[in-house]
Amino acid sequence: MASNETCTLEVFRYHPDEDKEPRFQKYEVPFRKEWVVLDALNYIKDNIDGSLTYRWSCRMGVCGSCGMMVNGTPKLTCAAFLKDLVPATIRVEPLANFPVIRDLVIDFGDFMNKLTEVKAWMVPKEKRSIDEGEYRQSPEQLSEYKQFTMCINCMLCYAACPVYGLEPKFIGPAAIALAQRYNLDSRDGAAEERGNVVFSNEGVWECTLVGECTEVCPKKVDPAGAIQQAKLAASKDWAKRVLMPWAGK
Amino acid sequence: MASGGATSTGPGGSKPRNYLRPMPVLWWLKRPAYLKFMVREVTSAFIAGYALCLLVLMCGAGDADGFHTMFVSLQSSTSIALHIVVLAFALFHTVTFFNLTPRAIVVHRGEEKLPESAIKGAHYAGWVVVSAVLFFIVLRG
Repeated sequence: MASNETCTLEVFRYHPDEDKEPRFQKYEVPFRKEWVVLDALNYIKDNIDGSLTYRWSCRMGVCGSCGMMVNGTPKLTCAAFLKDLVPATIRVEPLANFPVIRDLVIDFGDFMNKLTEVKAWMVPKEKRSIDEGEYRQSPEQLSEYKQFTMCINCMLCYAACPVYGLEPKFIGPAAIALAQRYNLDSRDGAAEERGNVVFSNEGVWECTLVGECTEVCPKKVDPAGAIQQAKLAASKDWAKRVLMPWAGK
Repeated sequence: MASGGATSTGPGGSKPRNYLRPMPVLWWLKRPAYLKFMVREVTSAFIAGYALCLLVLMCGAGDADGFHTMFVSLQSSTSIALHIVVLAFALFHTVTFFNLTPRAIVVHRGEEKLPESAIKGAHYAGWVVVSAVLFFIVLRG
């Protein structure tokens, strides 16, 4: 911290039309104990350098837009308080393992494609007309997958996952957690279709359980748990098919 | 270390020149959790190697002479030091592995999940029981 009233941010800058390599730029911003890193970035944009580019929306940990690397750790910048980071210089970078479009903005097209690949949506087991009423579910059935519905697609888990960094074809933590969310839903009927992707070489078996995806998740979704549970379910299915082939008939 | 770089601009300059950051070769030194993961994985290789050596030794101990030779070689200071190291690795691997078991095993009782401590505790209890049985077999023999 430069003085009692200010703190220093070292921000990753990359302009695709002007820079061949990214660079870091230091900014001195006012220190307020109630400010988060996103407030500091907004201060820079409004008062020091209007060209600084980043994503944000809700400022309350719901939209998942403002994920960045703060001192090397993936965080929602709307939940990273300056008071927990000063007096050291605060380094802000775009989420790791994703291509950078400009400054702190990443290209998350790969993640969106993976959500489509795993069919991260409800495919009803049985089609019903409106007259037949709603798809009913007990609280016990809801509790099976509720934790995984908390995912806000912030992609912090991908930035923390070295497997995704080394092998970008890996379907990755959030997409698999969301696939698991629908597979465990009693109303859904597309588990087998998802299995073609989730249990492929690029799916759950690529995960070596580093576990950092779960550690950085701001919503306690536990994607590492979802992946291990999917592995266990697949192994049980396989063992059942091999050891008791008559059981499925 | 691999170098990063900007992707090429598409025809007419329509595509953005995204910057791809390289994954450092020593990525596992960047965070303590990555290092712990690597140590956990490496210890399993040592344990597998030890198990293989033990198997080879036991295969050569088919008769009384072979058994005596194996017994003497296991009492050497080098062997004892090696066993202490392997025991430390085995304990580290087992504890870190058991601590991860609640990630994979989720048991619901109604709407509530069984606490993580119960899943871990069951594994530790199983470990104690199996160790006790093995101790009994070895000491009895």
